[in-house]
Amino acid sequence: MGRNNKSNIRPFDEGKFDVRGRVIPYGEYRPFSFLPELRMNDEVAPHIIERAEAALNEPIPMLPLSLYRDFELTGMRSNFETPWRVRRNQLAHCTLAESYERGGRFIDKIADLIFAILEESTWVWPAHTNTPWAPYRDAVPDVYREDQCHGLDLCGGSTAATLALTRLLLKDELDKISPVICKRIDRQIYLRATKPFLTHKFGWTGEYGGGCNNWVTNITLNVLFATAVCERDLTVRESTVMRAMRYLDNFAAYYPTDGSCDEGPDYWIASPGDYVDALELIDEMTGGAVKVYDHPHVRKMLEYISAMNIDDTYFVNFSDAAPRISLNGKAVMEYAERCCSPELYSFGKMMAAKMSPARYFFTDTIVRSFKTHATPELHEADPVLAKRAVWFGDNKIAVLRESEVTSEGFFLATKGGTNSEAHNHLDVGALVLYYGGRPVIVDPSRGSYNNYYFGHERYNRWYTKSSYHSVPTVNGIEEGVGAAYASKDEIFDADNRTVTMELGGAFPTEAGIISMKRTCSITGGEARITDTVKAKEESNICFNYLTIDEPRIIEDGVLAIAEGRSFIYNTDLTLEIEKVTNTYLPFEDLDFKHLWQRDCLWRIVLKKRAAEAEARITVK
Amino acid sequence: MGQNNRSNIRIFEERGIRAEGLVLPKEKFVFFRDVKEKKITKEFGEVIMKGAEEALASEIPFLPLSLYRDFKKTGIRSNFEPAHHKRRRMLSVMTFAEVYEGKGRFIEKILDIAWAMLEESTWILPAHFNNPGATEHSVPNVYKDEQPHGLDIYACNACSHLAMVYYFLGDKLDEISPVIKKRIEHAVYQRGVRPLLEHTFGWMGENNGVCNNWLTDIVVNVLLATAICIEDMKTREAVLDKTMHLLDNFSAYYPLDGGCDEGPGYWSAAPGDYFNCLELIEDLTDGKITIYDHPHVKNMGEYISKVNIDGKYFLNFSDAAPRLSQPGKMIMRYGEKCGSPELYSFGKMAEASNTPNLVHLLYNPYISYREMITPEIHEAEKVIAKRAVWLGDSKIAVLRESEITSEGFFLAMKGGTNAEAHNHIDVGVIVLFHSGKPIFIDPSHGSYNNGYFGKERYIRWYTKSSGHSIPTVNGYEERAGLEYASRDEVFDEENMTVSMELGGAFPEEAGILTFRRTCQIAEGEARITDTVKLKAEGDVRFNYLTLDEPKLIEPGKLEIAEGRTLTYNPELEFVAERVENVNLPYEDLAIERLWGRPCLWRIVLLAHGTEAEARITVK
Repeated sequence: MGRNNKSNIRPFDEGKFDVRGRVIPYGEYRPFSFLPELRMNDEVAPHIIERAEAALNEPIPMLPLSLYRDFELTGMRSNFETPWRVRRNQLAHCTLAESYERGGRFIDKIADLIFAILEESTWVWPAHTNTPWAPYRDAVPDVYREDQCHGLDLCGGSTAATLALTRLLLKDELDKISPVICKRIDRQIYLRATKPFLTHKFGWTGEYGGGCNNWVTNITLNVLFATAVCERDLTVRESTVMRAMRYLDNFAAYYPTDGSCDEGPDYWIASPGDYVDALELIDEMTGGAVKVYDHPHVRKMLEYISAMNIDDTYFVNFSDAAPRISLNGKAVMEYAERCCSPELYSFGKMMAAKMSPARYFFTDTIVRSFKTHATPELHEADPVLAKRAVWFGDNKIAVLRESEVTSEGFFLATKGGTNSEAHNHLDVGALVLYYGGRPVIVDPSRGSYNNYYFGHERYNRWYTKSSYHSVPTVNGIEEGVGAAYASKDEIFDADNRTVTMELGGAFPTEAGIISMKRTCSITGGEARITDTVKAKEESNICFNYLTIDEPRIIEDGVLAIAEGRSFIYNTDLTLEIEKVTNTYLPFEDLDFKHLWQRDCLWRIVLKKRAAEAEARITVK
Repeated sequence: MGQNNRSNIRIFEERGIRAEGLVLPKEKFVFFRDVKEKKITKEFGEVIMKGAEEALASEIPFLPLSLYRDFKKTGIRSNFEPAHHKRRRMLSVMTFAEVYEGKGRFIEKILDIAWAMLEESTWILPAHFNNPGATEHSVPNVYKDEQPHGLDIYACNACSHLAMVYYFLGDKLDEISPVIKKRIEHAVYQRGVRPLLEHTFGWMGENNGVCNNWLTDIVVNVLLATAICIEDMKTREAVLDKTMHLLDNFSAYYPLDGGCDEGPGYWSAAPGDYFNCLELIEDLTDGKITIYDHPHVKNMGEYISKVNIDGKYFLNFSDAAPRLSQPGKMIMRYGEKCGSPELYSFGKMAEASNTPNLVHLLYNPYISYREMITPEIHEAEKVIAKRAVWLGDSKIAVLRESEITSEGFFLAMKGGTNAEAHNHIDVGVIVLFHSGKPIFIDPSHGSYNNGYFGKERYIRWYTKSSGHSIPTVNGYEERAGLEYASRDEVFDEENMTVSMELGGAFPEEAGILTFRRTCQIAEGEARITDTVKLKAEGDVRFNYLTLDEPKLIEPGKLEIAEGRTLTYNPELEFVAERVENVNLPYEDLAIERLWGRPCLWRIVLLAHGTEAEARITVK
C-alpha cells in the first residue's frame, strides 16, 4: 500500500461497539470453541510427533550475550535467530505432541524449554534494535529489573503466544510439576506483552503517523491470544480488547480500498490473515458481541490473494515476495467462510488439497498453526476458475489471463505505483509473464534479509533495481527511490485486456526522459508488450526483459525463450543477451536454485542510440 | 561446638562499634589496603592462564529446569552442581586471566557467562531449596515483581563472582554497554543485599544462636559485593552493621577454646572466613574498624594448628577429610594480625607444601585473589607442636610422643555430644598415627547425597559409632542427640593420659552401667583401655578401625599397619572384619581416594559377661 491510497475505513469504529461488560472473564473463556477438539488431527499427528521426538534428543541451544550482540557486530541475523527459533519450534512441537498423546513423555522437556525462554533477558530480536521501542542500547538488552517494561516486537508477541498455547493445552500437567511454572508464564506475559501493548507508544500501532503493516496485525493477534489465555484481571482483558480494536482499525484504515497488499502475496497471510484471526479472537472474547467480518473492506483484503495466484503455488511476486508460496489453504477457507466469499473459498480449498500434512507452518502464527492442525486434512478440490482481468486501482496492479483456467495460456501482470512501497524494489512498471502456469518473464524476488538489506545497502543489489524488473533504462540510469518516483496515466481496459502506464516519472531528471509508456495486452493467444521511450536528446536506450531460460536466437528478431515460446521484436533494436548472477558479494545473494530451480537468470536487452525508441514485443 | 559451650563473646557489640560515618564510598574502596604491590605472581599467572585457556575453549554449561528439579527427584547433587559450579569457575578464572594478561581476549566469553548467570532464575542450589523464598515444589520460585530471593552459600558467591568482573573489568563492560554494570548492581542488590538486610534466615543464628560456616561464608561474599557494587551510603552502612551483628552471633556461638565442631575441613570456611571478613571490614572502613587483638579471635585461629597431625594430615572428626590443604597465606596473615607466632609458622609450613591452585575460586574469588597477589612460600622452618593439648569445650585431647610432628605416636580422642555440626555418632572416637602415618582412623564421609543431611544420615557405616573405633554393646551403637554425650573427662598433661566416661552416649537399652575409655602415650607406646560394666550378662564387641588387614601372630598379638605390633589381653576372641560400602546407594565413602586402600579393616575383640575389658598396646 502506498502512502496516498489509504482507505480510512475503520470497521470497529463504524460498528460503535461497547466492549465494557462484554468481555468474558478468565475462568469462563474457552478459546477455539469452533474447533471439534483442542487436539491435532490424526493425520498430522505422526509428523509433529516425529519432530517432537527429535526435539527430545536435541539440546536446547544456548543464547549467550555474544549472540545477542552478533547482529550489531556482523549484520548477520541468522546466527542469533536460528537457535532462538529452535527453542520455540521445539516447544511448539513438544506441546502439540504432548497434548495429543497426554502420556507425559514430553513434559519435562516442555518445562525446560519454558524456563529457558522465561529466563531470556528479552524476547525482542537484536535485528529489531533500530526500532525506538526496543529494549536495547549498544546491542545489549537494556533490561535489568524484573518489573521493567520491555519493548514489544513480532518476536516478543510470538513468544508470548507460544507460551500461552502451551499453558492452554498443558496447564494441569505443568501444575503437577509446580504451580510456579504457569504463574511465571502469566507474570511474564503480562510484563512483556500485555503491559507494553497497553502502555507503550509503539510506531507499529499506526497511532503516531507513518502507517502500519503486518507488525500491527501479528503483534495484536499474539498479545490478544496470550492475554485471553493468561490474564485474570477483567479490566486488563477489556482494555486489551479495546486497544486491539483500535490498532486493528488503524490497520484497516491504512490498507488501500482496493484490498491489495503492497508487501506482496507472501505477506498477505501475516497482514489480512492475522487481521482476521484477531477479529476471530475478539469475537470469541466478547461472546460474539463484537464482529466485523462482514464488512466489504475485510472481504476485499481477503480476496486479493486469489487474484494474485497465477497457477498452482505460483503467485505474482512483486517486491520482496517469493514466486512460490505454500499458502495455508485451510486458513484461507476459514477466512472465506468468515467473509462469505465463495471465490476465496474455492481457491482456499485448492491450496488446502495441496498442503501436505507433514508441513508445519513455521511462518504462521502459533494460533493459526494450531487451528490448522486441529482441523481435518483436505485431499480433493474442484478446479478454480479465475477472473481474466483484475485491476487494483490503488496499487496499480493489472492481472490479465488468456484463459479462465489458471493452468492454460498466458498470464501477464504488471504494476505501476511508487518506489516507496513496503518492502520496496525499484519496480514501477515491473512485468511478470507466465505461460501454462509456468514462468517466462519474471520478477526476480530477493536475497537474504542480511547486510543492511533494510538500510542504505538495499538498492546496491541487482535484484532491487528497475533494469532487472524488465523496465527500460535511458543512459543506464535506474528508477529513483521515493514516493515521488511513480507511474501515472494508468489505463486499464478490462474488455480488451490491455493496460497502459506512463513510467517516465519513476526516473530521476538526469535520465532526461520525456516519456516512457508501457502497454501490455493479451490478445489472440499472444502477449504483447510495447515500450515507447522519448528522451530530451539522443541517448542510449535499453529495453530490458528478465527471463528464466537462456534465449536462443532463431533469426533476426526472433528468439526462442522459456516454455517453448517465441519472443519477437522489432529489428531496428540491437540485441544483447546477458547472464544474470550475483556479483556484488556479500550483498547479493539471491538464491536462484531455491527460487527458480536455475543456476542463473537471463536478461534480454534491446538497445538503440536515439532520442526516441520503441520496443514492440510479441510472445507467442 | 555443642550447645552448652558457647563463648557468648560479641566483640563488635562489646566495643560499641557502629558503621555510621566509617564506611568508604564505592569509588574509594580498594581491597587489601595494606598490600602495596597488587600483582598476580608469575606462578599463579601460569595456573590461571592454563585454566582460562581451557575455559575459553569450553562451552558454557546449560542449566535447564530439569537439572534444578533433579535433586528433589533423585537426591543426587552431582547432576546439577558440576554444571552450575563450572560456570562460576570459568567466569572467575577468565576474569583473573584478563587482569593478569590484559589483552581483552577473554572479555566476550566473560560477558557471556556473566549474562548467563544473570539470567539464571535463582542462584540458590537445589539442595538448599528449603531456604525460605527459594522454591516451591523444586522449581525456582520467582515470578513476582521484585521478589526477594533466598540466600545460601552459593547465591552469595554468585554475587562475588559478578562483583569481581565489575571491579576489575568495569570500564571494559561500559565500553560494550552500561547496561551490564547496572544489571550486576541490581542483581547483587536483589539477590544478596536485600535478603541479607530484610530476611531472617536460620543460618544467621538469630533465633537460637546456632550458626556455622554458612554465616561467615555468606557474609564475606555479600559484604564484598556490596563494597564493590552498591552506591548508596546508607545501604553500605546497613550491610556493614548487619555483618558485624552476624559475626558477633558467630563468635558468641563459638566455644571459648576455639574448637571448630565442624572439624578442620570447615575451619577455613568458618574462622577462616570470619578472619577474611575482618580484613574486608578493615578495607571497607580504611582501617577504622579492626578487632584482631581480641583473644577470642586468636583462639579460633589457633585451633587449626592444634589439630594438625603432621603435614597435610589433620584430625578429621565429623565430616572432615583426613588430608587437607590449608590456605597457608591467609593463615600466616591471621597469625600475624592476631599476634600468634605458632599460627604463623604453621601457616608457613602449610603454604610451603601448597602449589598455586584455584580451590577457593568457586567459593570466594576474593580470597583466591589475595592468594594470587601474595608471594609464594617455598621453604618453611620446622613446626614444633605441643605434646599435650586439651580443648575443654570440644572435649578433644591431643597427645604426641615427640614435639616433632613427623616422629613417634600421635593419639587423639574426642568426647562431646552426638549433636554436633556435621555430626557423626562418634563420642569417644580415637585417631592413632605413627610417624605421621595413619593406623587407627576416623573414616571421614561420603558424598552429600541421598538424604545425607536428613533422616538417612546415620544408615551409613561411616557415621555410626562402630565405624569410629567405639564398642558395640549387646548389638547397640551410640545414639544421635544432644543428651548422648561423654562425661567425667580427665586430662592429665604430665602423664599424657586422657580418660572419659562414654556410657551415656549409648541408649538405655544397651544396658551399660559404665564404659570408660583411657588413652595414654608412654614409653614409646600408645595404650588404649576400654572397660565396660553391664547391668546383666551380655555381649561386647570392641572395635578399632584400621587401615591394613590385621594379621594374627599369636593369640594376643597382631601385626597391623605401619609395621606396628598390637597386643591385647588374649582372653578376648579376635576377628578381622573387612569394611567397605555395602548399603548402596547410600554408602559411598571414597576409600581408595581418601585412604589409598581398596577397603578398610576393623579389629574386633569379642567378650561376654557382665564386665569386659580390652587393653590395647600399640608399639
